[in-house]
Formats: sequence, C-alpha cells, structure tokens
Amino acid sequence: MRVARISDLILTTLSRFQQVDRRIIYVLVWILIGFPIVAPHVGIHLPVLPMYPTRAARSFFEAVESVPNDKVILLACDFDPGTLGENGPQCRSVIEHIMRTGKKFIIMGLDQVGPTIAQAYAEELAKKYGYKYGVDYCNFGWITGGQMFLERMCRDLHAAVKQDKAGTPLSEIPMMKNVRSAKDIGLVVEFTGSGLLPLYIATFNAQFGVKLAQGCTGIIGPEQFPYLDTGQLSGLLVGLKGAAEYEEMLNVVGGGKRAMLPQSAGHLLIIILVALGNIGMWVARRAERR
Amino acid sequence: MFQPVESTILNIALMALCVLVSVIFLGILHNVPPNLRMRVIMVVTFIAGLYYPLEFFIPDGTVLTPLRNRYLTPFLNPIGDAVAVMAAFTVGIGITNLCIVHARNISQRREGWGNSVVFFISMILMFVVTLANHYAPNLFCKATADGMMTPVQAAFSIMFDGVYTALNATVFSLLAFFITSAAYRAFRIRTAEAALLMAGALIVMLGQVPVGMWLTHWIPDESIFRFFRFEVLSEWLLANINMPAQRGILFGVWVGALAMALRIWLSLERGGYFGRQF
Amino acid sequence: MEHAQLIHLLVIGVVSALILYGILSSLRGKELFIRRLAGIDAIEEAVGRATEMGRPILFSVGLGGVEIETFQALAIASYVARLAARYRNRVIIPVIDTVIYTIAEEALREAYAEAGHPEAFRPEDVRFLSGSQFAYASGVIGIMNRERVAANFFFGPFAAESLILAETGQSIGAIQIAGTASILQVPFFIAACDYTIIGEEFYAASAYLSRDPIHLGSVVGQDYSKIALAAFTLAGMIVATLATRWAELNGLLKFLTGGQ
Repeated sequence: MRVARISDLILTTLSRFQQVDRRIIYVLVWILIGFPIVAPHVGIHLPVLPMYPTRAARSFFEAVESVPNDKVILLACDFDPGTLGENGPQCRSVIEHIMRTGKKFIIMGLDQVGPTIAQAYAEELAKKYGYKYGVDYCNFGWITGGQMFLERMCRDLHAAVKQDKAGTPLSEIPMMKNVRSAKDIGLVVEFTGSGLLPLYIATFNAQFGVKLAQGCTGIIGPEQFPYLDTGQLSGLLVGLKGAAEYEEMLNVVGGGKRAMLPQSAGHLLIIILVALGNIGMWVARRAERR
Repeated sequence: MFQPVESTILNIALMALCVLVSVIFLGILHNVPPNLRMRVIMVVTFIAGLYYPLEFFIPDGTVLTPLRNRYLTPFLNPIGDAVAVMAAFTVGIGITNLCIVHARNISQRREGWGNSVVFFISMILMFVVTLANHYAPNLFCKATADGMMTPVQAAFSIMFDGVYTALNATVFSLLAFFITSAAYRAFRIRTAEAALLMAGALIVMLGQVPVGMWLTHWIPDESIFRFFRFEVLSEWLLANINMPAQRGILFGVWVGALAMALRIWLSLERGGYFGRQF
Repeated sequence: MEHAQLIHLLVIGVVSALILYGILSSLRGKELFIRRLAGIDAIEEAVGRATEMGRPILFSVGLGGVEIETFQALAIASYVARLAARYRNRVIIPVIDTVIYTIAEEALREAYAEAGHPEAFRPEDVRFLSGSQFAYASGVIGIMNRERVAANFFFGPFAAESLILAETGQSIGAIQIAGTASILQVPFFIAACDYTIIGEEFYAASAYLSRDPIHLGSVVGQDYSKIALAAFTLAGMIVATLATRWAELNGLLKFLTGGQ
C-alpha cells in the first residue's frame, strides 16, 4: 500500500512536468545563461570548454591563410547590433587572424552599423599588431546599391567607391594604390545575420572568381550548406560556435569561447525540459488509459 | 565615363534645370488620362529594366558582343551612380513619411500620441549628436588624454552604444527565452516522424556545444566509430540531410524571385495595388 | 565569367518562357487549377472563433516595404477583413512601412465597405508602429496584450522577430495562423502557431484567394519551371556521371556548366 502511494506520488509529480509554468522556464534560462556571463566579473572563474573545429571552420581558416600577400581581403560586415552577439566575435577573431598573417584588408558593409563595429575591433587589435590605417587596412563604410554596386566594385573599385568612410579619396590611401578591382581581392569574408550571401556569390564569386567565406548567425547556418558543398563558399563559421572554433585555431580566448559555457547550459536546459515534458506527457497518458 | 565638372554655377544651373524638367514632366503626367500615364510608366519600366539583362546576358563571342562592349558596359558606372542617388532620396522619403505620420498622430491626439513626441525628440537628438560627432567632435573642448572622449563623443557613445545598440541586442535576446519555452511546449513525441525529428534535433544541438562534443570525445579520432561523435554526426546531418532539402527550397525561392522580377519588369502587376490610383 | 554563357541564357530563357506561358494562359481565360489549401479553412475558423469571443483580430503583414510579398499578404488581409467585417469584428493591422500604412488603410476601408459595414471601419486600427524591426515587434506584442486579441495572422516577410510575435500570441491564448516565404522563420511559426502555410503555399494561397489571373498564372508557370529545372539537373547529373567514363562527354559537360 505504501509502495503504491509512493509510486502514485512519483507518477503525479512526473505528469506535472508536461505543463511547467513558462515563468519558471524564463527564470531558469536567465540563471543558467546569465550566471556564466556574470561570474568572471565577480571573481568566479569558470572553466573554458575545449572546442573541436569542424571542417567548415578549418576551411575558413585555410582560406584566409592561403590568400596571396599581394592581394587584399575584403571584410563585408553586413550585420547590425541585433546579431552582434554572434557576428561580433566572428569578425573580431578573423580580423585578428588577418593581422597575424600580415595581410591587408578592407572593411565595408551593406549595413549601416557593421563597418563601424568592425572598425572598433580593428583599431583595438591594430595596437597589438602594429597595423596602421590607410597602410594596412581601410574602411569604406556603409555601401548602398546592393548587387549592382558590388558588381561595379568588382569591375572598378575606385570608380565605384571613390572615398573611404572618413571622406578620404581612395587615390590618397596608400594601400589602395594597387587595389583596383576584384582581381586584386584574394578573399571576400562576409559577416551577416541575413540572406545577403547570394549577392556576393552572383558577383565576386560567379563573375570574377573571387573566393568567398562567411560568418553567419546560427539561424541561417543550415541555409548556407549548399554553397559550401558546391565550393562557392570556401569556409563557413556558424554562430557563436563558429567563433569559438576560430578562436581555438588561433589559440585565443575571446567572446566565442567564453560564450560556450552559457550556450551549453542553454542547450542542456532545452534538452532536459523537452525530455521532462515528454515524460510527463507519457506518464499522464498511461494514467488516463488506466 | 562622365567626369565631374568643377563649376559651382554650372552645377547649380544643371540642378535647377533638372528640378524644372522634373516639375514639367510630373505636371504633364498628372494631367494626362490615367491610361496614357500607365503606358508611359510601363514603357519607362521596360526600358530601365532592359539594360542590366542585356548587358549581362549577351554572351562573349557573338555578333552582339562588340555592341555590348561599346554601348552597354561603359554605362555601368553612371547608371549605378544614378541608382545610388535615387536610393539615397528614398531614405529622405522614408524620413519625410515618418514625420508626416507622427505629426498627424500628435495633431489629432490619436491614441499613443505621446510616443510620437518621443519619436521627434529622439530623432532630432540623434541627428544633431551624430552630425556633431562626425563634423565637430571637439565642439566644446578637446580630448585631454589618449582614450578620453570629448563631451560630443561621449554623448554619441551613450546614445548609440548605450541606448540603440543595447536596446536592439536586448530585444533580440528575448528570443533565448521564447525559443526555450516554444521548444518545451512544441516538441512532444506523438508520432514516429516526431521521434525522428527529436533525435535529429538532439544530435545537432549537442554537436553545436562543447559539452556535447565532450560526451563523445572518448571515441578515437582514427577509428571507424568516429562517425558517432556528436560533432561529426551533426555535421553529417547538416551536410547530407539538411543540405539537399535546402537546395530544393532554394530552387523554389529563386524561381519565385525570377517570376516576381518578370511581373514587375513587364508591368504585369496592374491587377494589384501597383495599378491603383491613390 | 563577367557575362553570361550561352547555357545561362538558355536556362533563363526556358524558365522565363514557362512562367510567361502560365501568366498569358491565365490572362486568356484558361482555367488553372490550384488545390484548395488547408490553411484557408484555418483562416475562416480563426476569424469565426475571434468573432464568437467578441475580441479583435490582429493581422501583421511582416517587415516588408513596397514589395510583392507584402502586397500578397495584404491580399490575404483583405480577405480576412471581409470575413471579419461581415460580423463587424475589428481587424488591427500594425505596419512597419509608411507606404504600406496608406495602402493597408485603404484595403481595410474597402473590405468593410464591400461587406456592407463601412461605419465599422476604424482608421486607428491600422497603425504605423516604427520603421525598426524590434521596435515594431515590441509594438505588436504590446497591442496583443492590451487589446487581448483572439486571433493572430502573420503573413508576409518576417525575420528574427517572428518567434517573439508568435510566442507572445501563444501566451495570451490567441489562435494563430502564419504564412511566410521566409523559410528560416517557418520552424518558429510551426512551433508557436496553430497553422502554418509554408513557402510556396503562401503565394498559392494569396493567388487562390484573390483569384487574380496574373498571380494564378505565375504560380502555375513557376511549377512548370521547377519541373524543367529538375529535368535539367537530372540531365546534368547523368552527363557528369557518364563523363567520368567517356571523355567525349567532357565538351558537353563544359557547355552545361558554363565553362567552369
């Protein structure tokens, strides 16, 4: 009798899990994701989890490494503050890699804010690697005109862009003297949370044969795989995990790696909640059938 | 192809001429019968939309190629500049429309008119601070030490980084809560397909985080069972199951985009709102 | 490859011709068949339920501006408004674009007039909230909570705010139907909405409801095009496979791949 009462109690408790109040869920999310983020700032040191870079991330890394020294890398920062959480660490780690390899790069973006954010990263890292604006990197700023403008850039960069973000004519920027068209660009790297990749594929890659790599948010990641399969994309970083993989290959601890613990906690919470919800549903169904 | 002319008087004269021609043209269009107006729009749309397909689709090595190289390709930059200028004007149109709508809210005291007042205050403040930050960052005083901001730079930083960026990121981050509650509520295994979906989701989710990778890291990298490591299995699912489905969807998306472009170019959208007189 | 190759011209030509054939057939009066979509029954059920509960309906046309997807969403909004107007139920349409605001207001006014209840139209039910994605989303969820809407419709182009809208609607117990061509948002709508019209079905639904011959013909023409593209893909796959065995086919393969 006692055993039956205990088992009934367990079954009743389990069946309650099929309808957990959403406020409890929100509090759990807040604690599990918030705590690992806040902890380092209050002196609690949490472990940095090891990462195993995927094939797509390794291809991205190799694509940057293999850019010839006489060509530049174009960073298309097509993201806004909404996707800064994912694209930001990706952009920062790629800029650091480029600076380590001593290659020159250009920042631009089809979004208003992306180039400004990338500029801040570049200025911060430039102090560490001795990069100078105008000699080793420059910023075209926000570019309007979509695919039409990208095609014009491919054909004649100076005629299309004319001046950098600060208004300096391209002809007066030392690094741009030998960069005239897509032929002088070794790799285009796009960071985005929206579906702008086809614009670059249709212009830089399909028409002018320039290699492409992309850092995208987790939501649009699955959509980019066909391009990776056909070789139109030479590398892909997906979400914060992609940023963490890149940092692992660079052997640095940045925003991506630090975010892996809260991301892991969040994913585990979802898995546990889904499991509990299903267990609760099955237990309740069994009880009804009885 | 076209070089800028360094003459203020000539540029002003050209601008005035453009405004005059535009006003005359719009006046004529306004006064002609709607059918004729529609025909003019259709012809202009067709001609404007013909340039890029012709320039791109005339292949190399045909009898038309020299004509393309001589009469179409050189105009890419000037036409691109013209389109960029028109795009810039749409920003102005957008702002003007915003101001009209919010001004109407305030004048008619519609529900929530206080928000429209906030809109005007925010817009003017951001506009002034951004211009000042770009053109006169040392307006009140110069920066005293390396890394110190001037008052204008600080104001811009507060408004952009502190308010705009933070608000945007905050609302986006609500998704973390909503995804968790939506997943908890929706992922119930009631059918075999749901079980398959759940298994796939579990593998991909665990393959995305180090904890999942750690769970199977004991499987040797060189063994034949390497396939069962979460990150490998996850990558296989994305590249072999997800990818063909995405490719099929892409076919539909781009055929739809082509159909849309054809309907606009050939002015076939006259049945819908495009043809209406507002 | 700065310009197209002959094969690109051929493929685009065939695909465009099939689409135009569909449209022209429809304009000439040919009856084109589009199956009745289950989502349309769900629309009528949702409007009915909201009317029974005496609570308003919310119809979001997404983030788009003056583009086809938004206009097709407005066509569905007109249909919903005509259904709701029969019973003098309110339809609240929050918009993100000022031009769409004008068009939506006109569409809603006409719907009430066609239903015979022009006096039931309230101009303040069409609301321009903001030009910014998340400000729009915040405004919409505020409307949902304050107005206690009974039915939510999400039709048009959506981005990351889709789950914010759908989950909030779920939390207030509204019946929700979504339809979008933004494939990446479909999983979120499926998780949070009662019915979701996916991808191509959205265009078919708006064509079915509006009975506009051009939209109908376009949807059917696109189906023909996809069959042609599938045939071309299959042919290319066969040639590429056989070319590994017979080198004579390499010339044809090069032509089919545009010389790449």
